[in-house]
Amino acid sequence: MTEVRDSLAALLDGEPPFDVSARAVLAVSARRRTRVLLPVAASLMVGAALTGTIVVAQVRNADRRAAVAGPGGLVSALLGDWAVHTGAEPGTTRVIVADGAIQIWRPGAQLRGTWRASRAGGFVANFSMVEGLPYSPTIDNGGAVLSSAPWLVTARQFRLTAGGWEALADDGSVLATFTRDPSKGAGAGSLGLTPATADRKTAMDAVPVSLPPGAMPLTADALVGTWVPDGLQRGYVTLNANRTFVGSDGCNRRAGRWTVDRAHALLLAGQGFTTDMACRQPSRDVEADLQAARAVGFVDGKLVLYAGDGSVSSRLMRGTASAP
Amino acid sequence: VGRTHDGDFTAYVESRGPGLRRTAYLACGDWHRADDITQAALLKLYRAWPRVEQSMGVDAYARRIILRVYLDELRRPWRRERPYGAVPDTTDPARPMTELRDELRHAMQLMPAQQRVIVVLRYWEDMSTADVAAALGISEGGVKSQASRGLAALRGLLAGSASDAATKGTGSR
Repeated sequence: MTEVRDSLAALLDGEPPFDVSARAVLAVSARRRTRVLLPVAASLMVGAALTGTIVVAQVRNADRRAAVAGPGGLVSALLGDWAVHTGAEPGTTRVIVADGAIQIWRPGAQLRGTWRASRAGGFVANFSMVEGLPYSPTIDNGGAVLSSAPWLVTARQFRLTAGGWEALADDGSVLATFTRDPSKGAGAGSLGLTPATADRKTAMDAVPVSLPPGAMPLTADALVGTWVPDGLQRGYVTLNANRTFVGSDGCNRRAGRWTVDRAHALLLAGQGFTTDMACRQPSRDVEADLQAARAVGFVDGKLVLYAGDGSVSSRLMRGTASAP
Repeated sequence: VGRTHDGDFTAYVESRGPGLRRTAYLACGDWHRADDITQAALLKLYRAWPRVEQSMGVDAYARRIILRVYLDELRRPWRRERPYGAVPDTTDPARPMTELRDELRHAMQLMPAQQRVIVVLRYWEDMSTADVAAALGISEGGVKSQASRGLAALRGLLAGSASDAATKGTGSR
């Protein structure tokens, strides 16, 4: 029997770090309790003077616990109209998180962009328009414009809290806190953004697809560089060490930001095409391929992109950025 | 659950959490799912903590709910994507997986879920036939027969001496 146990132990070789903290469990438990308590509190408004202290104490307890929970959770929980709390912003700043789109609303200015997040807590946002005017990827990469919202564009992780969520830096420090603004009931639909359907929310919250045997998980350091289609097609994406990327579908430039989450998944938030040229030569939209892939891993030094059914959808190899 | 219990619970998770996740991983074969299963099980454990802590059976209860959560998840297949392969068990791209480990993992995944759980409880957690039967709510005879079949599935993959020893271990304790 010892040999059987040893054999089972061999399956544990390469065990990743334990990622389930007691604090996260306490936070989830507190959030669920709060969801039960709040409707009860509403029904007890008449007797609030007598019972309110108990309810408020429970909600505060939930806040305290949730604030120390680990990164990650249901991605769809980030959708909504949020009040921003960070020392760098006036109290009136709002962030609207919609299906694939994100906007920062300030008095007299709006930043528009895209975002991606994962259950493992990865988060990346990229802003490409300010008040309807596109700005150059060159400026984007230099950070001159994006520095106006560093509390979001430098975020690499998110963490759900009892009252909303937090954007976190690589080291786990809190860059900004977002709380539901009860005075703003407009939501994404009234701002011209597409509200997420139930199917889209389900897709956002789906458990990641595992890599097949033989494929090695991604790391940010190993991803840095230029990747081109494994074939004769034009197109590339260059993942810079500062977590920005530039690329091309063969004749139109692309740019954005990227990160790798704790589950080794690649997240890209692009800004779309800066031009709209028709490609005459065989070309490949590498960024779109990476966005559509359900899993990406290294196999023999190449990036292999997998579809949801486990089949290989495309391969990328290291190369040079030759396309416009 | 009070603050004192929170402290005890936190200490328990820090000391036993990794082991519980390993049990979940051996059952499901996927570290991401093992994390989810462990968190769901710990949530159930936290709710029952005062009662379980006083009964002095925390480990047994935790193992039982880990595997109950896993089996319950399987009964709701529409709620979860099925992984189509095992998660690579190393983050070192230069480090190959051994052939035996691949075959073992494959053999484990080919077993019916309950049989795999029984193999994990009997031969990884070293639980007695009676305890496994109680944990899963099945007869001891059922545990013995499924453990035996599970071992038979693994037997061809193990070295001869290991197979012999494992076969001897299928008896009740």
